[in-house]
Amino acid sequence: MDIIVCIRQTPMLIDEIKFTADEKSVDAANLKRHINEWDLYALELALRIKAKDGAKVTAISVGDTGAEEALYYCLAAEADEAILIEREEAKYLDNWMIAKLIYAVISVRPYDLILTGLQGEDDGCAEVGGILAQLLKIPQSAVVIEIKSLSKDGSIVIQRELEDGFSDIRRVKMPALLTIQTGINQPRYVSSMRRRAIKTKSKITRIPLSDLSLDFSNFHPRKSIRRLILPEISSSKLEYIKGSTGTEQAENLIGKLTEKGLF
Amino acid sequence: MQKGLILNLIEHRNDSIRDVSWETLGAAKKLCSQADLEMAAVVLGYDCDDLVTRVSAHVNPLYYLQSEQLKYYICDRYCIALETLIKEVKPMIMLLPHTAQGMELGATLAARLKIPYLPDCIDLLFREGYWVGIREIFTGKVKGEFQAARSNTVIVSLRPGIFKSISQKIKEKKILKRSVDFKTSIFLTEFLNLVEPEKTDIDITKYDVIVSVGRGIGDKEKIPLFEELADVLGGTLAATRPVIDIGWLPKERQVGQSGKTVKPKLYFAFGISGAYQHILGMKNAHTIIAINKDPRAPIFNVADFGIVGDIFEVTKPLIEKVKLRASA
Repeated sequence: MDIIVCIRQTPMLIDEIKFTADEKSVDAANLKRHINEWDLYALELALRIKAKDGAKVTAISVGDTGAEEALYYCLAAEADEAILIEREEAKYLDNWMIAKLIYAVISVRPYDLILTGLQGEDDGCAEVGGILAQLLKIPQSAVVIEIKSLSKDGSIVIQRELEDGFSDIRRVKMPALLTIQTGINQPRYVSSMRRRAIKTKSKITRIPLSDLSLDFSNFHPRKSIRRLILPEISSSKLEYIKGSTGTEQAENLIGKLTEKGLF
Repeated sequence: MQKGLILNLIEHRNDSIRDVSWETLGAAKKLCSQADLEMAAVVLGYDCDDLVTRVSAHVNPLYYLQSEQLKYYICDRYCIALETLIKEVKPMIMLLPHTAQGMELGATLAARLKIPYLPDCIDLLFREGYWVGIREIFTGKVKGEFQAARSNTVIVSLRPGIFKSISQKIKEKKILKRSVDFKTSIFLTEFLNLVEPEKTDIDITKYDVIVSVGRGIGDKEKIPLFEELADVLGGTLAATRPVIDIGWLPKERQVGQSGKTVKPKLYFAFGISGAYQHILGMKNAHTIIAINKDPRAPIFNVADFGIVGDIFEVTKPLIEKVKLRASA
């Protein structure tokens, strides 16, 4: 069985937030990057299927800054192959364009199952999986919280999380794409020593955009960012509890709650 | 010239309309009052006339796409049915809620129709000839104006819990029934069953005081400290999803969209930044007290009392002082 895991090195905010001059992105100096949390769960799921039923696990990432780090992480965690789609850093790609690039690479390879995180920690769009499945003309299921069974006849039974504690169970014919919710498993610990060692042992397969059979003439984003805004805390009811130490703050809080008859 | 149309997809489950659908209808109504737009809605289902009648009291026309294949929501079937309707009625906006269903359907339908999709919007505006969705990114610490490329139809999903439900009723009902032709369709996904929430040992919704912790507590070893505070306050301990996912507390203590919705008298939020999924589960608490070292944490938007500071430096004296009062 061939499993492909789409992963991404996601930017995260560090304390101070500054935007670039055009107000369309967060200044890179205010970002640190790590593997998108949802994607870690997707990777772990693939590796567990590999351990139980046998599979080849291939990790794919579109080259954001640090994508190589994410791919080495996958190899250190025992993925069999890692593919980096090299992109021009400066060019804005929306999720549709990203899905299209991944599609161009996957469509010429064998695959039974494509796994990816439900959404990105930064933009929370939850759409690359759906677009990719549609391009590949395969079924997708989103918000997967359990694999109930994986049968030899090529179907997979999965449980999806809904709202308010509900969930549903579906049978999906493979090849299929699943987007994975956090908590489906406990991702393994990969030591930094292992991550360093893998760089001398294994290679990442690099695919430049020019190698993809894609028509780039009509390759435009379907959505773009006009500008970013730094929201202020706005609440008419919020009252700050003062105090120069934790003890003072605790005291003032109890005082306030007592005064309002809440305690 | 014909007015632009907003087509609302009504989400339903277990024979009832989901609350969030009244919210998307409310949002559509508001947009219609601000711009020269009309609204319509669509229900996909089988044998659900009661549900259709309820919706038709608020929106005219209401399309009812009926087929045994549409008894349960399944992405590919919904896509086939909606594609036909969208091609017929040519809406400017196809509006749906950003739910487990909506996030699957919105991305897929947009890709299928090759049109733009603005997911999880908290507002929708028309600016200089473009549809612009306001979205929160970086878990609410930044807002972005996302502009859809020009297109006859744009799909927009709206965040639950943001928009006011529709209340206005209309005088004239109009239900347009349609059948859907699935004859040539091959179905690759099959619905098996709906799973109800599990019965659990502890029911956090029954408590008047809830002490809730987020990943900001940093370490599983810190849990007993907050448990002690919950104890001395006569309340119970709860948590955000990341704390549950990481295995620090069991699922039955999760507050939020996929966990429990709670309305205690006092809700303490320690080290909780305030992702909207969590806020959906606790914003109706009577009094909310948020303690966080980050003054920009969105949790402060729903709090009654806020402490910007170190959660541990506040918690320890808080426990002592509550104990002292109890013994006084």
